[in-house]
Amino acid sequence: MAAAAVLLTVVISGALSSHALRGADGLATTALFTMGVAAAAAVIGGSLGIGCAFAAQELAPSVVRRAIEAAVAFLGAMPAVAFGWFAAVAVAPFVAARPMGSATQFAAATAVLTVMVIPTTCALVTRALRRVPAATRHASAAAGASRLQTTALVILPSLRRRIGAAALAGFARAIGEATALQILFASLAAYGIAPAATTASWIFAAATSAPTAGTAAALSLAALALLAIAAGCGFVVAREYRGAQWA
Amino acid sequence: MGVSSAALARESSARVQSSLAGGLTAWLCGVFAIALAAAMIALLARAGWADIATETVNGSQIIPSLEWSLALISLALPLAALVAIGAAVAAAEPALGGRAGRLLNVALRAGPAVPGIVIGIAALAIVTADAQIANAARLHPVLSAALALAALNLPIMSARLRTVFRGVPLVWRVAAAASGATPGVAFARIVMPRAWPGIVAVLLNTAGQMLGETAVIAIVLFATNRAQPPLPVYLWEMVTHGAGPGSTGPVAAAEALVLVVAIAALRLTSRALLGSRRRPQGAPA
Repeated sequence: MAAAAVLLTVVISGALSSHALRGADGLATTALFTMGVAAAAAVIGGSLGIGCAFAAQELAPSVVRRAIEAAVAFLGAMPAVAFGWFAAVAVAPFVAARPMGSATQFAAATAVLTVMVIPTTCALVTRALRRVPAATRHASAAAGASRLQTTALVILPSLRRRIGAAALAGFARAIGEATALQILFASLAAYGIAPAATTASWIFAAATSAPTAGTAAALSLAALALLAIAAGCGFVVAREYRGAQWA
Repeated sequence: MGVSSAALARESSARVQSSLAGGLTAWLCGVFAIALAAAMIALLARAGWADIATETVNGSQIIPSLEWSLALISLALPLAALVAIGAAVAAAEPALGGRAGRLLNVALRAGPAVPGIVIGIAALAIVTADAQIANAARLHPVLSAALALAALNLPIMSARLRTVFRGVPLVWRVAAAASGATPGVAFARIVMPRAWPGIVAVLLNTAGQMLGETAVIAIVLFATNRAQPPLPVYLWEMVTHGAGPGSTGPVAAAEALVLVVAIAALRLTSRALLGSRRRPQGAPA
């Protein structure tokens, strides 16, 4: 709330100058790219995270369950800058060796964000699965359904809204990611691939390279847009997952 | 009747196939996550150890950066903890929080979702808003970065602490009230002692998050012209400036390894504390 107030003040006081509007024009393309990358990462990473949660909680034996939980916990504990290092070491050279034209940056950014989204969605869906009443499973078993059938035909449909909210949380996580993507795009540029940016990575790059008065206002405008989207997602997710700390 | 049972059989078979496909997909997702984490650990460990050896020979920059990180956290964590505990008490205890507690509960729904970069821009706006503030920030860059770091972690820390306080069974509060204790006394004497392991776990978890935070600190330190960066910012500079074919920045892997190991250690300790807190209450692990 305080961050929003400060940003709003800066935007109102200066963002409507011609500089800011020019900056905002450029931001429109970046915003489209950001939405596309975040949506792709939320769908792919969200599906992987949801799959991990179902495998760990419903299907796998305890040894595999612990391995999946440990792997997801490791991914969740990794700081963004370490993901950036992986992006520079593994993703950028891989993508640079297989250029896909204008889709190169999109594919690379989606790959990095996909990995970062997995822990968020997995944690939320795990929480939802742990809260499915035991009576639901017992009733399904009593009707002759196998464990797999119970999971696919009873539990999965009952959690549809929560799974959607988990994917939305993944989208919010992806849309605000700055550090890893800024490193990725810098690495891709070093390989001779045309520069690209998401809104967050653009903000980060611009804020750490002597922003002018016009840029500062455009930065605030972009940050305010990110804040609005992330907070909106936050409210929706919080409605489905009361009391969960998912960020 | 025969047609109907054939249709039923087909539908049943389709459902079984769909269940099998779903199960197989879930298994593949799990295997993918394990393989991904294993590959990352292997890459990090292999490159990191090699770089640590080089770094030791060439004179270490990791230790000074880590020291700066710890200095930053030692300032930011108490600041954030003080405010977050107050906010969490107000949000978790309706008898103490009142209307402010209800407002905080609404704010805590969206607060943890706010991206770090937004807080970074808010900090930048504050630091560059006024010449006096800008001068003060340049004089105390670590304090400025610590304040931004505390602000960034405040919502998630408050939300986690609220969960810790709510985790103390209601029956203890009811028993205290029945014994004539006021809500304040009940909280201080009954809830707080039982919540301590959880509070320490949240502090450790937040310290891990603060240790890995890059964007906010980089923005504030850039605005205040700070020369010596903390570890994640140093790693970010190394990787960004040393990016390119054949080089991802000297010793970057060593820094990433140190960072990940330190954060993992804090997280594991936090989890162990939460586990020890859960067991006596009979909650599932």
